[in-house]
Amino acid sequence: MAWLKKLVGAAIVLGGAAAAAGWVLSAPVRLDTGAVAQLGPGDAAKGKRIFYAGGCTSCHAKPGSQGDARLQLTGGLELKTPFGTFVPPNISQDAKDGIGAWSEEDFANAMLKGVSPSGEHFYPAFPYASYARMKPTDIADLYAFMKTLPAVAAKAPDHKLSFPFNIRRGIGLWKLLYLSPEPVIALPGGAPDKVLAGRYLVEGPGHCGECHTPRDFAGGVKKGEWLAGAVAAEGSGVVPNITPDGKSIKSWSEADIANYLETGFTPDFDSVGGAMVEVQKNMAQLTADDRAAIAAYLKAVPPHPNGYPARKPAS
Amino acid sequence: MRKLVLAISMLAFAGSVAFADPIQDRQALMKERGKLAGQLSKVVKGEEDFDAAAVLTTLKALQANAEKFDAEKLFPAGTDQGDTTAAPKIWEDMAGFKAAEDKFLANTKEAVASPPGDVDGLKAQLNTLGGDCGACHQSYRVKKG
Repeated sequence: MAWLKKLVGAAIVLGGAAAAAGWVLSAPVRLDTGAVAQLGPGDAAKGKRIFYAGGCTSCHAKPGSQGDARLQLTGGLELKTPFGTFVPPNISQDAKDGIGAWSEEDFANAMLKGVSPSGEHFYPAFPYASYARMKPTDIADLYAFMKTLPAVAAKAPDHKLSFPFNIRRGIGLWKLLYLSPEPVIALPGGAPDKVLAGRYLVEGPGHCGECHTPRDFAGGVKKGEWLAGAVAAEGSGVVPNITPDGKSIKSWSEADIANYLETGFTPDFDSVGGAMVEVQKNMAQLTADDRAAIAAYLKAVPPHPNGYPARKPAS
Repeated sequence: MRKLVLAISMLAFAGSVAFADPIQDRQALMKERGKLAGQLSKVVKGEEDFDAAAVLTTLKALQANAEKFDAEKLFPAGTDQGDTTAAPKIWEDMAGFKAAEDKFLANTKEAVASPPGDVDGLKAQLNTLGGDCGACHQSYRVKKG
């Protein structure tokens, strides 16, 4: 029976080692000092563009608010997903309920590393897996702009998640798999500036891939089906395929795409709908050049078949 | 007796044909609405010259279209099934759905009452009307594959 004891002993040692390794690997990682030094002082005027490119209001505005009231970033919207209900927090300038007490470095760690000032992982429902591709100077500008927004006291409720997703530490392992500042689509050398600018806006601040790309079992986006569309992670229905093989977008010109982002009308005069309504309002705040760049990039990405099942025939 | 049953079922069939499918009716109304918005957009985009009379005709057509939109008739219970992208929320929140439509109707009336004098005026009105489209489609329509 000595062999059995040895086996059990070995299993305990191995299991312990795996647990220890898991603990080490899942630790929150902050920006290094070199990256922090790149932030520099932000410019609020420039940050406004990043704010709208980033679509912060879509999730963090006071639910149901309109117009300027959408700059009251109280959070509180309920996003019901298969992992549980995520509630975007208050990111207004309130020092207690919001992020008014955060330093620029705190803000950059949240945006680029998904780590809170207290050193916890944020859930990737906050799309830092996309924001991680942003330029440090844009983060600084955004921070400066958000400083100009109102402080609104209102504590958003906590997320309501089921096991094992309620264990934040596990997100550290998720980050090892899915968090990278590298672009998703490697464009050929000599790609036009417009396409590169569009790639930055779409893959970084715009975080389009978070909804328009299908996810794997662990909730990471399938980069091999980038922008192929997906069953909506929140709400009902599907999010359309926006690669050049997408049913609608296939026939749209770059000008059509840019016009849709500006006005909310498709070329055949259907209107924007669903969660894209708020996104389009944000896109309308960008410059015409930014919208044209997004359109140019969408025409340059690899085509994919739809990342969602075909519509059921009418019953 | 058999003849009577046949006759009744034929009558019922004829009846169901006479009352056209509400799903098709509402889709036709929406398609027309989109087409009219498209005509205005061509002017805003500069693809067509601004012609005040033509623009007013289109705005009036939009108002007429909005007046035909009877939520109770076009969205009877059970028509969330079938070849439709109508969201279940329509039937959960009929009052909100009607309010969204009423807002569109009110905005078309306003546009007809004070028709735009130039492209910029039209652009502002189309923005408002387009915003109404989006506001309703945000909650009351589901994208399907």
